[in-house]
Amino acid sequence: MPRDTPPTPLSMAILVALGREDLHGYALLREVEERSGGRLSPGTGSLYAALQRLMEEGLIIESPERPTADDDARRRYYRITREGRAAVVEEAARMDRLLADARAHGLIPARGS
Amino acid sequence: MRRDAIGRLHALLRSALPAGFRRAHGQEMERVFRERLRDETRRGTWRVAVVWTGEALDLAGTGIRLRMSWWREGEGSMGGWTDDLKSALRSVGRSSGFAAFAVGTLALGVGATITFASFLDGVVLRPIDFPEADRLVMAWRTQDSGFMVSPELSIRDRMRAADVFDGVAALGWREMARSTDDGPEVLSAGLIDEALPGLAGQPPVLGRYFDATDLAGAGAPVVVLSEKYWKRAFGADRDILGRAVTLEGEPRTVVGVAPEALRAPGPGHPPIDVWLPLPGDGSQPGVNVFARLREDVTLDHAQERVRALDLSAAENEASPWKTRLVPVSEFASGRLRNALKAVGAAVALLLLIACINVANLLLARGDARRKETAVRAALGAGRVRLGRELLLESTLVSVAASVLGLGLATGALGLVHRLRPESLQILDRAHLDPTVTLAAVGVAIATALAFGVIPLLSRVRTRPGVVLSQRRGTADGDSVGLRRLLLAGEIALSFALLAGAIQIAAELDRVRSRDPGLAVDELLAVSVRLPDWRFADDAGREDALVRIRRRLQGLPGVEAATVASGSPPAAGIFFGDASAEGQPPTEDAGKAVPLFGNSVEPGYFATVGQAVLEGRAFTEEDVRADPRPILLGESAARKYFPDGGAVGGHFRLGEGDVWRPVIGIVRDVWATGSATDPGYPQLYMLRDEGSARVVLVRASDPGAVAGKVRDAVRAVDAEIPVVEMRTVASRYREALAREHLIGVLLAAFAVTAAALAAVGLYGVAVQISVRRVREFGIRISLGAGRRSIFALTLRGGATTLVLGLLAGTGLAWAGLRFLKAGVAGLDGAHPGAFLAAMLVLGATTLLATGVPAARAARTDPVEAMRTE
Repeated sequence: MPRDTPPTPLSMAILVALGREDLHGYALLREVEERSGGRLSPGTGSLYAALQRLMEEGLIIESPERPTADDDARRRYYRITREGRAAVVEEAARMDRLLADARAHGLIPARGS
Repeated sequence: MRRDAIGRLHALLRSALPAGFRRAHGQEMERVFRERLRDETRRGTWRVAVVWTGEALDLAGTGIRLRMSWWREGEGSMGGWTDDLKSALRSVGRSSGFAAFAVGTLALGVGATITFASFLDGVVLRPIDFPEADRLVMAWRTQDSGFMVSPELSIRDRMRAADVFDGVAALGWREMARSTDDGPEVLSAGLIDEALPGLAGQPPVLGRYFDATDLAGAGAPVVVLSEKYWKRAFGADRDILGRAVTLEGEPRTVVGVAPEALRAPGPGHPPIDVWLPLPGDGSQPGVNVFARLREDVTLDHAQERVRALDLSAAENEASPWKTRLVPVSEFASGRLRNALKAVGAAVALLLLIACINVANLLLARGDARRKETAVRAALGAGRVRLGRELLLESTLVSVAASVLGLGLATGALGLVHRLRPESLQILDRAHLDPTVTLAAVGVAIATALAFGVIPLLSRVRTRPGVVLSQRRGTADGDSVGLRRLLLAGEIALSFALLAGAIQIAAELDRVRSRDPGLAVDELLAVSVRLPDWRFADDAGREDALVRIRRRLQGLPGVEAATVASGSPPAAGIFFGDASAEGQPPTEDAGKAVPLFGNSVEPGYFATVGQAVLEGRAFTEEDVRADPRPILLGESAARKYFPDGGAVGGHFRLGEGDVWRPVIGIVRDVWATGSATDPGYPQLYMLRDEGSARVVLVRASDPGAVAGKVRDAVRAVDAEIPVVEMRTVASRYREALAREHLIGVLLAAFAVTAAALAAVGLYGVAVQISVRRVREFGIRISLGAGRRSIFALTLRGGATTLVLGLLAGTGLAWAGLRFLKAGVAGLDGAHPGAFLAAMLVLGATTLLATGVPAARAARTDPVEAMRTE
C-alpha cells in the first residue's frame, strides 16, 4: 500500500518487533520498550492506535494462530504481512539514503573517521 | 472480565477514546495495562502512580488524536472543493425540510443576536456621538438624599476654573412657540454656549454657530436650525441663511444649520428642532453641563477638584448641594443598561437553544445518512472528502440563516422603533451598524460551525463494514444519548427564560393593578403654553388660564376641569427642610428632602377623584388667606405628626418658609407611577396667580373630548399652543414603559425558546420511535401491550424533561439576579412562576413526545418485522 508519510517511530518499532515472531499486546509493548532502551514507552492508547492504523493500512494482521504455550486463549496476537515487511525495507532504505545524504554534507562524521 | 477498581478506573479513562475504537480494543488495552501494572509494581510500589499518570495522559492524547486524524489526512489535497460544494448544495436541496428547519431555527437565533447587538452598541456602548465619549462627564447637583438636579450656569464657570477638563460646555432646553400661518407650532429648542459644538465635534452643515455677541444678547436675535427641522419646515432650502423665523413673537435671523448628530444626550430629551444662544446671565433655570476629562485625569481626581471648588465658593459653605460628575455613557443609557443585560442574557440563551437544535438535527441527519456515507466510503471517497462536504453543508445552512436573520433583525428593529414608548427615545439610536452586523453574523456562523462539527466528528469515523452490516434495530445508544443530553439542556434554558418571563409578567400585572388613588381613566391632561411675549403679567396669564378652563368645562361630555402645575404621575415636587411645628424632629431633619405633590386650585381633589381623608379640601377663601393653608398626604401626616393632630397643626418647608396651617389630609396617590415608588410623602399647595400650565379635564370618555380640546383652546387665544394632550391613564402606562418593554421582549424570547425546544423534542421522539419500530414489533408480537409501548416511548421524553427542569431551576434562580437588576420592584423568586413554567414545559413535552409515542403504540408487528 502506497503511503505519503513515513511511519512513525512507534509504528516502525512495532513492525520491527513483529519481524521475528507473532506477539500479543503486552509482549509487543515490552519488546518495543527494551529495543528502544526505554526511549519508546507507549501507553495502551498510543499502542492500540498504532496497531489499528497499521491494520487499516494492511501492514499487520491479527494472527489466526497462537503459540501452544500461551496461558490465555483470549489474547490477540499480531503478525506482520508481506506489505509490512516491504514497508520496513522501504523505510530502512529511505533512512539509509538520508544517512548517506547527511554524511555527504558533512552533518554526520563518515564511518571510521 | 470482572470489574474491580482497576477495571473501572481504566474504563473511565478509556472513555476519552471514540466509541468504535473502544469497542474494538478496549478489553485488550485493559489486559495489557494490567500486565504492565503487575510488572511495574514489582519494581517498586511508587511506580504505580507513574504508570497510572502516564496511561491517563496517553489515553487522553490518543483520544484527541484519533478524533482529529480524519481532518489531518486531507492536508495537501485541496482539489475537489467545487465538486464538494455542488454535492453539498445537492444534499441540502434534496432534504428541503431539514434545510428549511435548520435555516429557520438558526435565523431566529441570529436575528435576535443582531437586533440585540445593535441595541447594545447604540444604547449602551455608544449612547452619544460626541468624540471620545468615554471621557465625557455630566455635572449634577446632588445632596445626601441622592436626588440629582440640573446645575446652574455658574457651575459651568466653576468647572472651567478646575483645569482638569479639556472643555466644558452647557446646554439648556425649553419649548418655544413658532408663529406660522397655520397657528402656533411648539418647537423644542436647545440653548447652547460657544463651546458645545466643539465638544460635540460637530461643525455646522450650513453657516455658523453662535459667537460672543450672540451669547451676550448684544446683536440681532439669531437662530440655528436643526438639519431635521430645516428639511421638514423649509425643504432643505440652501438659501435659508439670513431669513427670519419668528419664535415667541420675536423674529430671529437664521445663521446656520446644525447636523443631526448634534443632539442633547440623555434619555429625557426630545429631539431638538432649533438651537439658540444660551443666555449668559443665568436666566435659563438649570442646564446640562458637559465636560471632557483631560486625558491624564481620572474621574475621581476631577471629582475631588470640583468638590474643592464647591467648598471654596463662599456662598456654598452652608449649602447641602454638591457637584457630582457622572460619566455621560452611564447617564444616557441609565437604568436601561440593566434592562439590556437581562434581555441580553435571554438572547444568548435563545441563540444557544437554536444552535443546540441545529446540532441535534445534524446528529439525527448524520445517523440517517450513515449508510449513504458508508457506501460512499466503501466506494473510495476519503473520509476527509466526506467530512469536508458535511462541513460545507453546515456552512451553507449557517450563511443562509445569517442572511435570513439579518432580514429578521431589520424587521425587529423597525418594529421596536415603531412601538417604543415616548420616553425611551434613546432606543432610536439602535440601528444596523455594519461593524456590529458583521460581528454578530461572524459569531453566529462560528457558533453554527462549532456545533456542526460535533456530529461531524462522530460521523466520519464510521467504518463501512460495520454500518452496512447493521440492521435497523434498536436506537444507536451513543448519538441518541448525546441528543437527549442536548435536549435536556434546551429544556433547562427554555425553563429559565419562561420562569423569568412569567415572573416579570406577574410582577408587571401586580404593579399595574396598583390603585393610583385618583380617577385616571376619566382624566385628560392638557398642557398649554402661555408665551411671555403674549402675556405681559401674571394677571393676563391667570385670565387666559381661567378662560381656557371654563371653555373646556363647557365642552359636551366634560364633568369638571381644574388647573394645576402638573399632572400625575410626577406632577410636582417640593424641596425643603420640612418640619411640623411643635413636633419631634424627623430623622432627616436639617436636610432638604423631596415631597411629591402638586400646586392646585380649589376643586382639584374633587375633579381628579383624590379622597380627602380628614379635615377639608381647599376653598375660595383659602386663596385669599395669609399664610395660605396646605393639605398633606397620609404618609406625610404620619411622618411629620407621628402622634396625630396634623389637621390644625402647622407645617413649613425650611427656615425661610412661613408656618402654614394644615387643613386636611388626602389619600396618597401613586406619586411617580414607577414600580419602585415606596410611597413618598406628599404635599399639596394652592397655586399662585398665573402659574400652572396643565388643565385636568374629567370626562367619562376622555377620548371623545380630546378631539375638541385644540379648537377650544384656540378659541380662547390663537397664540396659545397645546403642548401635550394625553389621558392620565396613558401617562401612568408610560411610566412603566421600560418594564413593559422588557416584559414583551422576554416573553417573545421565551415563547420562541419553548417552541424550539418542543420541535427538538418532537424530532428526537419521532426518530427514536422510527428506529425502534422493529423492536416494538417484536415486543408486541411477544405480547407486550400497546399501552406499555406508549409508556416506553414517553419515558424517554419524561426523563429528558426532568433532567432539564432540574438544571433549569438552578439556572432560573441564578438568572433572577439579572432580572432584579433590570426590572425595578422585582422582589425574590415567585414559586408560582416556576410552577407555571414547569406546567407549560411539561405540557409541551407531553405533546411533543406523545404524538410519536401514540404512533409507536400503533405499530403493526408484521409490518415492522418486514421493514428493512
